[in-house]
Amino acid sequence: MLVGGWWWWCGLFSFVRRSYLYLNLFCVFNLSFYLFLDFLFFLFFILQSYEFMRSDKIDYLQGTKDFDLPYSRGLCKNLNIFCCNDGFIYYLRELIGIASDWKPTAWDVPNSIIRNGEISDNCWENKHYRCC
Amino acid sequence: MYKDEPIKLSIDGEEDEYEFDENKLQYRKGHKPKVAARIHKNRSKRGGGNCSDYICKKSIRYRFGYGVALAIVLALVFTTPRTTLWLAPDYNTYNTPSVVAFGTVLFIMLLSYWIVQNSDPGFLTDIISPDDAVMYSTDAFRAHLYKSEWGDEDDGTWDESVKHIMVARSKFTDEDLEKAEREAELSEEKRRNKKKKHTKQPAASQENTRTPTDIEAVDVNDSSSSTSTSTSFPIEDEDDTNNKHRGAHGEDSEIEGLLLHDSAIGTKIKAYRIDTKHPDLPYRAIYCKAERRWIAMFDHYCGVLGTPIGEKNHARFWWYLCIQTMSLCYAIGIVHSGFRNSIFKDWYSDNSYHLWVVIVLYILTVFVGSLWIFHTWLACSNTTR
Repeated sequence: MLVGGWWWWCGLFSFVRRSYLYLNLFCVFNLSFYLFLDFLFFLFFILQSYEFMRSDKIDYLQGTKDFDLPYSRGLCKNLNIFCCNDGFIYYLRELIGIASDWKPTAWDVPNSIIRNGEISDNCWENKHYRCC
Repeated sequence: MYKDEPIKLSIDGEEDEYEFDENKLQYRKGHKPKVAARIHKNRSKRGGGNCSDYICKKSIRYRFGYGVALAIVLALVFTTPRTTLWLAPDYNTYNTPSVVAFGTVLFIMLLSYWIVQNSDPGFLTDIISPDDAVMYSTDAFRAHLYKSEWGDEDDGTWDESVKHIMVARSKFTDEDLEKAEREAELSEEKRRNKKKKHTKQPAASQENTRTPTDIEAVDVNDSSSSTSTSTSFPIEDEDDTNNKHRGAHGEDSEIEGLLLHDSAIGTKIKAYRIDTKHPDLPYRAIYCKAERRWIAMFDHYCGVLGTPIGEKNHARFWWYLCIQTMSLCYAIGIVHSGFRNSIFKDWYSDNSYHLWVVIVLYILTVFVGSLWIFHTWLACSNTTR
């Protein structure tokens, strides 16, 4: 009698709808959705990229592999190039009174990367082991 | 030659007019010339040469769009009840200190946008049309590979795309082109070696363990077209046929696919691949199609800002992304303060609005934050996208 009544079913479904189980499922699905979005975004990066993951398709990067980082000069030098060659720094210099013309860094074709030496350019490729 | 004028092509005996679509960089049959002209006008305005003033139509459009997006997010944050932006018992009046703090965050956010938007990414040339810029493209190098097939001069058999590439080829010295040819051969050899490695190693392992009866059984299976046995012999045959196929065309099929596209609609002129190698400019300077200029260490053309990101611009762009993520996190914190810790029966009915606003903000932070992290990696490793 009680089970067949409409109020019983109403109570059950309202409990399910408002329970933590429902919310947890919701959140889990959303998190997976975020991860999926992030993955898609990364794919989008790769498809649109010029240098990143495209070492075999660019002429001046021929002979290198992906993630060789042929233009890397160490962390400090890289950050120095990145930050100090910005136009805003040159604007501030103008304000102070030590103005100088902005010039692009003269990059050339990278040197050949040592893979089989005792001291190699990568930590993942060496004379003794190769991880990838 | 600029592609505003339509060209006449005869495909399967039917002659039609084809017009150049700037968005897809190819000739299309039913393309209206008016639309193309409009796009061309906008593009010329985008160029920093023509649009030298800070205030121009294009930058106003982008700023308006950004303002609208910001207003929507702000409306969402301010309409969430019981947050720290409102005073405690009734939540009818503003909590001024927190509102002022949020306002300063917004001001910094707008400042970062103002600093990056329409800034100089390190332009190295004036505006060059894509047709002139393709002269310096890698297609010119590849044209050298096609020389034996096409010949030195036009004997009436040259396609429109072939002419395009051969004109590009004429801009380079023979030494450059020979070097490119050697490199292409080397890369092709590498590819072949890779394929051989993949196919031959299992073959050797299987041959040692195989008896003559097994081979007979395999032959029988092949004739009866069953796919249950995976043997090495058919794979090797496939490899040989691929090589023959290549030999017949004289070229790698990948490169051919990049250059020329054939379809049922008609002949399509190849998409531009303008990578590098401007003779007067340093390496890593890339032609930006939207701005129509060469940019030092070109990273990408940002659709939100409406500016290309280059060497002179990149650090500011990093700060912009950093500030965006920080302010989004601040907004998420504000919305999280409004959640009511009620019993689970009433939780969703109390906090449904908060939940949806927070989800929207989280999605935005995922996008912007991943960009920010990616660009920190780019800065540390001195690479561009």
